[in-house]
Amino acid sequence: MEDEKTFKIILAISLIGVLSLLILVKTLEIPLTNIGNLTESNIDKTAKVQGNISSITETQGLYLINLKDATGKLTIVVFKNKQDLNLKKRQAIEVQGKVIEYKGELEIQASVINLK
Amino acid sequence: MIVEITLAILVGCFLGIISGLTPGIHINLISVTILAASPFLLQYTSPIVLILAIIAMSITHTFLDFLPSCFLGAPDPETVLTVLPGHRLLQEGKGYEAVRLSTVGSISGLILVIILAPILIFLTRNYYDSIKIAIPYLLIICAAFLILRESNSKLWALILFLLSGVLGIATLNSTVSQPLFPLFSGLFGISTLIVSLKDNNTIPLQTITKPIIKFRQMVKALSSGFLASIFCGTLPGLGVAQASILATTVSKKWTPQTFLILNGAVNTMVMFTSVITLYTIGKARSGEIVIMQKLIAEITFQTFIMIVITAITAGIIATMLALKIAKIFSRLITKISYKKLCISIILLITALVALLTGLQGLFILIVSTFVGMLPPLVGIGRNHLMGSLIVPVLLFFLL
Repeated sequence: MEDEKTFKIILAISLIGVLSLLILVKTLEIPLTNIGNLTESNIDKTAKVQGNISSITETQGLYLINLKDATGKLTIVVFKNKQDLNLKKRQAIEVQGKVIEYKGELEIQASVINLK
Repeated sequence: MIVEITLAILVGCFLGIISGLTPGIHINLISVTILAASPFLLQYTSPIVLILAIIAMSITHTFLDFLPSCFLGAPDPETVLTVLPGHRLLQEGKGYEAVRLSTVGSISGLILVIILAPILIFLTRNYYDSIKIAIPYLLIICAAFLILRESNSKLWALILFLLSGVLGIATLNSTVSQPLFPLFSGLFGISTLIVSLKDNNTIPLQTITKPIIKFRQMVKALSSGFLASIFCGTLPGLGVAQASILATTVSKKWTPQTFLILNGAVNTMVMFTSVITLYTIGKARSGEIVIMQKLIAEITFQTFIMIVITAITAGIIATMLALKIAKIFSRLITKISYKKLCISIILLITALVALLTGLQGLFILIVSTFVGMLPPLVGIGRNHLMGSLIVPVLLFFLL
């Protein structure tokens, strides 16, 4: 009897907890930012941008994607082996990652890339 | 460089002792800590040295993590299936024998997988692309097989597989920097400790006995374990528990002794197979391998050879450590306050989760702890909670 009651309580908390986590994750989702609105205050923070690929350069160890939207352009850094890069020029993508500064310019180290 | 490498192996083995012997603390946690400290550490050493330390730690961990499972009834995800056979031997006063069986399995498995590494490398390099398209279907078949194989409630196995899957999706989509840490700590760490606190077992006096291991037992355990390890070490989302269950489908008759050799072998073989997977196709299949991938962009042949040498050295050291520590545990087990130990570890993990992942991580830890307590309450295996990784991986491949 005691065990059944314990089980029901734990099950209820688990279900409510998982549901709450789903809602929380949706609420805390990183908002989309225009490329032109990224500033030095975004450095070391996670940002999400969307745009069209204007060029892709492959180097040893990483890909450099030049991403453009209506407000500006930005370099996206994708480390090799992180995911299979199957992107082409002019493709619309959404990128989420950490904003970094490299040689005075802002870049994003991509952690997630989604096709749009 | 030789001095640095030797130091890396020794430090790695030491860290492996901590993670292996402490219930609830996984090598992922220590690997994450090494990554967080890497900007400081890399001022004094190179990424390769850090990777060799992680390898030494991972190998040592696979040898030692059976000890808390056997002596404290507190397994981690890799040893979750060994609690019953290990505890059975412990109750017969043969805890040391159980550790010896698992250790024999681990060192034999390590030697076997290293000897066969060239074949594995050839097969993975040449055939992975062909089977890549089949990965989601192989995962579905594997998950369905594991659920159908559940001897108690298949329905609950499916429900908890899916529930942990939804939990995994939510966790991996959160903004937490190391989402697997609170997720696995809750599902497999703290939940196990809380459940084991309820059991007030008295442990009988332990004797130091050496098991008689038959050659046929070894061949059965190693051959079936090896095949299952290749499968689970190469495919994403599958781990040691799944590999052990798949290996036991080869034959129905598994004594506790043979199963312990199997799980020891599989534990170490899956770990090393995932290193081979990283080397050949650049894919990370476990948390510590993901960390390695962040430290070094590519594993060259020379780095791989250094990893092999490190693994063998750590394996030899870990074999001696496991047997020595098992003797100490056998003598001390009746004197430890198990309750105080569990509570201390729960508090430590909670503090680390809060520190490294913040409030969101803490919430994930609490939710996953409650989900992690469900399998023993409904009488099914905790291995179904790997749905937390398998379901997101399936969605990644299918969508």
